[in-house]
Amino acid sequence: MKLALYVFLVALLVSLLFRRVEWPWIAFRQGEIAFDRGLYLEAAAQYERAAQKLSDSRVLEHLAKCWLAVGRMDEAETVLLKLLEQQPERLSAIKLLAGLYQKTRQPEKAISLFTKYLALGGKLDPPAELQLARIYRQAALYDEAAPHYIQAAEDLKQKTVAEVELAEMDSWQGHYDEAVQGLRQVLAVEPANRQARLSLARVLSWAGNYKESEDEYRKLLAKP
Amino acid sequence: MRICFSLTGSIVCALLLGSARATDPAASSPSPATGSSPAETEISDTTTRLELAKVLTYDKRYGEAMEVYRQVLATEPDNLEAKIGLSEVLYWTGNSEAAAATLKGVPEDKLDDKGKLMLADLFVAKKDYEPAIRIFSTYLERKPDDWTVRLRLADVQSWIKRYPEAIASYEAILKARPHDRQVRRKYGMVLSWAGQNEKAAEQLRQSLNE
Repeated sequence: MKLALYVFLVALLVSLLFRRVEWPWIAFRQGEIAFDRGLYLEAAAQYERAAQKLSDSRVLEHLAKCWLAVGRMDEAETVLLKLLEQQPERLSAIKLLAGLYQKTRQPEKAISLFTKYLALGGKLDPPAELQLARIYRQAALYDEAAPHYIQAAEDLKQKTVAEVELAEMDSWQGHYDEAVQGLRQVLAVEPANRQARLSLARVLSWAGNYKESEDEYRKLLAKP
Repeated sequence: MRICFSLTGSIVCALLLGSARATDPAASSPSPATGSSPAETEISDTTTRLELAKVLTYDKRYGEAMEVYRQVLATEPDNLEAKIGLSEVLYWTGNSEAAAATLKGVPEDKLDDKGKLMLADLFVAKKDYEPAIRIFSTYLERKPDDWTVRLRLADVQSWIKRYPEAIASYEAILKARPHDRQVRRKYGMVLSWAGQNEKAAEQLRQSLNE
C-alpha cells in the first residue's frame, strides 16, 4: 500500500514538473494532434502558445500551415515573414509563402522570394523548380518560366506535369506546333493522361485543326 | 527498492510517452500550399462536351454542335453555358424563335456578358427593340469602348427613329474610329433621315473619299 502511494506521488511529481518545464512542447504536441484532426484553429492556438517560449522555427512553420489551412492569409503571411527573417534560406517556408502569393495572385512577390533565396546561394529542389516555373507562368513571364519547367522535368515524379504545362505555355504564345509536339510526346508515354489530351484538343482547335481537335475531345469522352 | 524505481520509471516513461512526439515536430507535417496546377484538376465530361461543341461550331458543323449542347442539357438542364451556346447556334442557323425559347426562363442577371448580348440580339431579331436597347446600354456603361456593341445600339436606335440618340452613338464611334467608312455611311444615312441633309451629304461624301 505504501509502495503504491509512493509510486503515485513520484509519478504525480514528475508529471507536474514535466508540465511546468516542458509545457511549450506539450502545447506543440497538442497543436499537432489538433492539426491531424483538422481542427486548425485549435491547433493554431496551441502553436501560438508554444511559439511564446520555443525558438524552434518548425513551430512557426506549422502555425503558418494552420493559418493557410483556414484561409487566414494575412496571419500566415505575417508568421512566414517572421520565420524568413530568422532563416532567410529556409526553402520550405519560401515555398509556403510563395504558394500563398500564388493563391492571392501576387506572383511578383513570390518571384522576389525565390530571387533572394537564389542570390543567397540557395539551391532549388525539383518541386521548387516546378513551383517557380508556375509562378513565372502566372506572371506571364514565359521566357523565365521555360528553363524552370525544363529543370523540373528532369525529375521523374514531375516530368509529365512539367512537360504538359510547358506545352500549354507554348500554345499561349502561339507556338502551336511545338505545343502539339510536346503534348503528343506525353501522350505517347501516357495515353491515359486526360489533362494532356484536353490541352492537345484545345491547342489543335486554336491552330484551326478542328477535326483533329474533335477526335481528341471524343477520345476524352470515351475515357480511355 | 529496485522494483520501486522500476515502477516509477515505467510510470514516468508512460507519462513521457504521451508527450514524446512533442519533441518531434517534423513527425506530422502538412503539405505546403503551393497552389494547384490546372493539370491536377478533374476534367469533367461537361467541360469536354462544351468545348467540343464550340469546336464543332467553329467548324460550322452546327447540327452536331447542337446535339452535343443538348447532351449537356440532358444531364444538366440548368447549364447556362450550354443554353447560351445552343441558342447562339440556333440563332446563327436562322432559328431565332428556338434560340429565344432556349434562353427563356434564364434570369438576365444570371447571364454573363456574352449571354446578355446574345439575348439582346434575339430581342432585335424579334423586333422587340426596347429590351435590346436596355441591355446594350447597360453593357456599354461598363464597357464604353466596345465599338461593335455601340454600333449595334446605334443601328437599333436608328431603326426606331430615335435619331438624336443614334447620331450620338455613331459620333462616339467615329470619334474613336474616324476612318470607318461603313459607320460613316450609316451615320450619313441617319442624319438624312433626321432631316439634317446638308450634314448627311457631307458625311456621305467623306465616306467616299476615305
